[in-house]
Amino acid sequence: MDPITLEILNTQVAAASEEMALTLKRTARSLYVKEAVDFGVGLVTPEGRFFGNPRDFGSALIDHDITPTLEALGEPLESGDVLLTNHPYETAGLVSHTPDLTLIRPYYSGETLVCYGYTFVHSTDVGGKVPSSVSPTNSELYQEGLLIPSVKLMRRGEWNNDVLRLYRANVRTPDLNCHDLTAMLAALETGGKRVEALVAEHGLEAFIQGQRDLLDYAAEKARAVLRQIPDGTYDFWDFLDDDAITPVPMRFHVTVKVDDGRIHLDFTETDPQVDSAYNVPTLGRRHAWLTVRILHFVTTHDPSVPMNGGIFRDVTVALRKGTILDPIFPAATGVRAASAYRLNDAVTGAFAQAVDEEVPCPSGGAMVPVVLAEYEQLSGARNVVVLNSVIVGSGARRGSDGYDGIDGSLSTIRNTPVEKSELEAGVEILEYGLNRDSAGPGQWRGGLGLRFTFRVSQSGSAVLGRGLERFYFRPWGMAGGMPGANMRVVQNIGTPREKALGKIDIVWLEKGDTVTFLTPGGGGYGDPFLRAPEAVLDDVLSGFVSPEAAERDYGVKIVERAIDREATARLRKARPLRSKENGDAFDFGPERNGWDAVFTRDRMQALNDALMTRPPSQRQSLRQELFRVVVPELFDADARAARQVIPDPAASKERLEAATADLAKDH
Amino acid sequence: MARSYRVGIDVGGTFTDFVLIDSEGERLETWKEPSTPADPARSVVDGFAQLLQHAKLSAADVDVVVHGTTLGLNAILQERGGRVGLVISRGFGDIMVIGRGGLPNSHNYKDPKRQPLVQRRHVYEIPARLRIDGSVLEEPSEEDLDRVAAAARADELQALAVLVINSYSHPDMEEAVAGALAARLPDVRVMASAALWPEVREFERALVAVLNGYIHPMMDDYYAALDRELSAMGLGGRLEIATSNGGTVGVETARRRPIDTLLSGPAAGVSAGTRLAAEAGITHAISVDMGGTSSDMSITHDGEPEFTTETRIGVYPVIIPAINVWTIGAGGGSVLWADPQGLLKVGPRSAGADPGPACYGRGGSEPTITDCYLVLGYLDPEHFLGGRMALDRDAAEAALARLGKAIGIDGAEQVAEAAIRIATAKMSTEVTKGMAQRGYDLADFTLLPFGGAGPTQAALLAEETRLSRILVPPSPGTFCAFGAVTGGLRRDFARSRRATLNADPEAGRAFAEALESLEAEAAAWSTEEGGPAGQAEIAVFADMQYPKTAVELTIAVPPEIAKRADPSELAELFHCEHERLYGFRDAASPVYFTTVRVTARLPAPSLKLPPRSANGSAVPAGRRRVIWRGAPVEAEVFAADSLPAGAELRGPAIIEMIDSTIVVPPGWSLGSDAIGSMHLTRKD
Repeated sequence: MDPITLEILNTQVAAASEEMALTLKRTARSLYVKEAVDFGVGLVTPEGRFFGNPRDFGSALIDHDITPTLEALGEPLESGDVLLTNHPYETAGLVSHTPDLTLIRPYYSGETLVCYGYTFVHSTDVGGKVPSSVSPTNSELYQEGLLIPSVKLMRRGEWNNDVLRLYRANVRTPDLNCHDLTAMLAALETGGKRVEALVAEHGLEAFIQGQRDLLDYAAEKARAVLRQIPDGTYDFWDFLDDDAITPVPMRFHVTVKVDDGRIHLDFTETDPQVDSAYNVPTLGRRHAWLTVRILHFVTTHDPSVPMNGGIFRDVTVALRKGTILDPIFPAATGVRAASAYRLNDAVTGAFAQAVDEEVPCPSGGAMVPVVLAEYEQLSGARNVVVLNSVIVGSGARRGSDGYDGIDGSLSTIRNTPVEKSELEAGVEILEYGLNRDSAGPGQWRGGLGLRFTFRVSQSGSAVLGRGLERFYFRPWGMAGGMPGANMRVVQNIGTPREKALGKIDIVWLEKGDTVTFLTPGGGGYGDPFLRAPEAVLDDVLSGFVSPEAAERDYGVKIVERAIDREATARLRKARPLRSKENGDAFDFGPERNGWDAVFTRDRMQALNDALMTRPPSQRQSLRQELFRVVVPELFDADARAARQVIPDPAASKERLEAATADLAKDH
Repeated sequence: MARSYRVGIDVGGTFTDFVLIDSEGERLETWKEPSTPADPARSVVDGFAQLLQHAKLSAADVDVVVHGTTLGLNAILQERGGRVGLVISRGFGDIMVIGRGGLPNSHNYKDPKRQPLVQRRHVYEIPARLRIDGSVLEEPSEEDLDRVAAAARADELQALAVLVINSYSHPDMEEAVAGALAARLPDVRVMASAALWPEVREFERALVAVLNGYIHPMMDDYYAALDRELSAMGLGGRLEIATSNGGTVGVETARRRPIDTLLSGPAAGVSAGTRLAAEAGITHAISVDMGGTSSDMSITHDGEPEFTTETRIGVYPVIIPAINVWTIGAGGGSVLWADPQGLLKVGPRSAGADPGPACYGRGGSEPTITDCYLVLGYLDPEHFLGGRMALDRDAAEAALARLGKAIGIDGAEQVAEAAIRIATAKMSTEVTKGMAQRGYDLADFTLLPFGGAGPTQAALLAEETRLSRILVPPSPGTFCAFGAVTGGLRRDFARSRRATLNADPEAGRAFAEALESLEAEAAAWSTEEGGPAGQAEIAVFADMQYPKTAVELTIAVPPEIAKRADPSELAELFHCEHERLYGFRDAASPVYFTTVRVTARLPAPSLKLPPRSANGSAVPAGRRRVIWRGAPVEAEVFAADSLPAGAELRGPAIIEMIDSTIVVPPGWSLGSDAIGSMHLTRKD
């Protein structure tokens, strides 16, 4: 196709998908669409690849192939048909958890298939064990709601009422969900009209050819960006604190191989799948959650790249069946986003070894909708309100501090005004501000985390804080920078009844109790001793850094709102500079250093290999038992809260090696 | 009644535009004066003198001057405002850093970290806090106030914004704090958030006060200087300032509330376009104000411009109602370039006024859209800006040909044609997206182009978008100044109160109370502007929703229903609108309102324009070769001034106006009407 028409088509297909998104947003009513923007739309080639996606609306998870979903239908999709599914395994992860109701409609011109329209909406509820269908403690897919394989919701333009009735009978919010379905169909209709106009303008063959050319164009642009990464092999890992049903951490390991702009992501050393809902269904294929960081790397360095699947053409992955990132059906997948968050931190760490000036340090690593459930004293009716989405700070990067109280790394959710929350729930919000000293110190410091305190006005209120992370393993610093603070949740802070809550699922409160969320800031970049003393002073005067931390971490002595130059010079001479060259490429903090000293890469590989020789159904309990033997303190809440679970590393190491050997031989 | 004169002045980045009209609809004079960004009042005063000389009038003859300026907007975008501080309830001092969270650009993790408008150390927390019901949680002592005043003095602040959490429904404590601080700080402008805009949402409300304080020092100086200089010239009439809602306010109001004037330029154009369209029987219009750096688009539906309470000024959300204008990076100065893969791109970077397009001959070597228009024959190199600025066609061709070599396209005309197709496709997709967002049908709409480049691009855009009607207003290049001079005095008021409409017997009273206070405020303002009591036309709106849903709608409340304030009647308005938009009503659900809104309007000046003679016939002034869709065609060239009322002509034709050029392609016809508007229609 000629380059002028290609540029025009480039604008037009992006706009067509944006029109679909705008139609969906306008006609939908649910909070997930209107507020959380948890929906997606796109145009897909006859070969199953996304070639048109909105840049600014909805979810930009475009690295998918819809072919398995179509094949699962077992019959052709004809003109006027609409496919419905929410099956994470049958779709090979196109649907990554059951609430993501997904529709696909083919667009024909006469007898010729032109392309497909695609849309999903995170539905309010699809049935299952808990309202909203998602809970970290769900242990298999069947608890996560109605499972819908590829079926025809519409046949030749007519509703399939049997499917609809079955669906409505199995969800808690049938009217709201059906309204979402109608809005999704309207979006597909808009896409269809636009595709028809594009075929009329450019001709059928040219438009089909244009789809491929747009993928090629994106691939070429992405490759040009990825070639900036020096060839080599880089490996890294990071953790989620635990799997919600045992205190055993989940470890995400990646080896990135770069060869002339071709990227291979090898996740095979990631931990075995868990009996909770953190698994990411990929069926062993490349998947949007695995390649998010690559997408962001490309769009950051070339904002003109078209948003389509071509971006990932030179990316390959290796996964191991039975791990968190390639779980075996019917492992639960409801909170897979938490895993995606952390595996992408691991990818960042690997990239940083190649191009540390090009990537930011990790953010505080959590996103917590703080939910309050109040019970009306007389009627017993329940009022459930999201008080706020409490987020973390962004990571620093070479040349810039991280963003304070904002984390753009995976989600762009906005916070809720305090005045709105107070209208909705019986609380007084006492603080909503930045969490002092939470950011990783550095020449460029991390963004600060948040401090959020509220007081409940009636007894019997309950607080839920799902998605709390980084209690144990901190957001790490880079190139001499230091890690951000750990997450903390505290009841009745600053009173005699103060109590650290740790990772809460649900906490019951009495009238007048307060709860405070103190979230981590992002990791710091570069030696904090290289930060200009004036910048440190400004942080102190702004209340972002305490005078004690200025002295301890930054080597800057502040006396009466001014820098004590002499003392500062003395402090900064007290130790050699921290740098990549001096062995400070990464600073993980003492907790992880202690953990990694026992659970080295080799030992973890041996352990995971040994576990994999056992039947899938036994792995999780064997794993838990092993950790109980190797690090018994991990199972002691007080020791965890004190962040000291390996008092005797040598002993733990010996126990680990012995237990792994047992596991490997003893069948 | 004696004949009176009104002058509209719109300061843009490149030119300051002037329009003069009279009350009898007999005169319409325009003038363009180069802007003087270093001393913005200079071009206003100089151009005003030129205009008067040109019109053979003296300043004493002018009754009203209406002024629109982007000074405040630019101060915010370029971070050049005053030293403003914020006094806020304890626990919320980081509000200006955190904002509402989220990054402006989630695809770029190198998006620059922005400094907040208020430096964190100029935010002072005080123990001043209300509960939701207005009861006191914390109250500041005299010592607290002394401490804050001392700090603000030490920090040499010019303005201080005050926000107490929950002040939107109970403003007394915030007022008291502001009053106490103002008494201690006579040289500092202290503004209470709820006094400016009492709407729920602490960050947005704080931002209203902070932005107002941020631009206040410079705007106040500017308006005072302007008032002084115009008076010195002998102006005895009123000075009014154009506002973001398409109306105007007296200069005293603008000095107190400069935040209301941020987006006055585009708003004035849309507002005048809407009225002009209505006179031509057009109720649905898409306006495109295409200038040098960008195009501002807006939608008029059912005879009303669309308003928004979610305007973005840079990264800041402004909740005060404004005409909804969205900007795309496609203007006459948009630069053409090639990416490493050899694809031709247009914009969003602009060559601006200096060096400007290659054809300006001011040293610009990069080709722009204006260069394309010139090479394709749409513009006459001798006739740009009424002949005041000659264009260099050779320079345009050379720049285009050079770019062509890089992307393998031979010939300047071919590159120009390609770039215009690309730019047009981009603009067209913006229009269709705008329609999808609102659920409107394109077939109902007329394109309303203005700005220097709007009429040139209009038919291209209409063809691509499948719009078949275009209305070009008279003097499109100075249309925003025309909008300023014809806009009437207008202000918006809002008050957040929440009550459930069908469960709570008190709800009707809450609504009535909110409305009563808003009407009193509106009446006071109207009197201040010199309007006789009761003359302001009041429109009432209410934001309503079903509990726990994400759909909040602003509903127009007819006067008699507003007066009765009957909860079930009010709820019914919401049910009906919800049903219209979403196909159903949740009759069993309670409905609550969150904010009551009032718009007060004083009568707008008449739109009467000098009638054009119907005598004579359309005689072409010449012919020229233009390239249309890749092929050369011979177009007749007409001077707009020479076209009699009722003239009809067929494309291909070019209409040269004083400040713009209309392209009438093959397949289109053009008719001129009695006031000099041009109506283009596609014949197929």
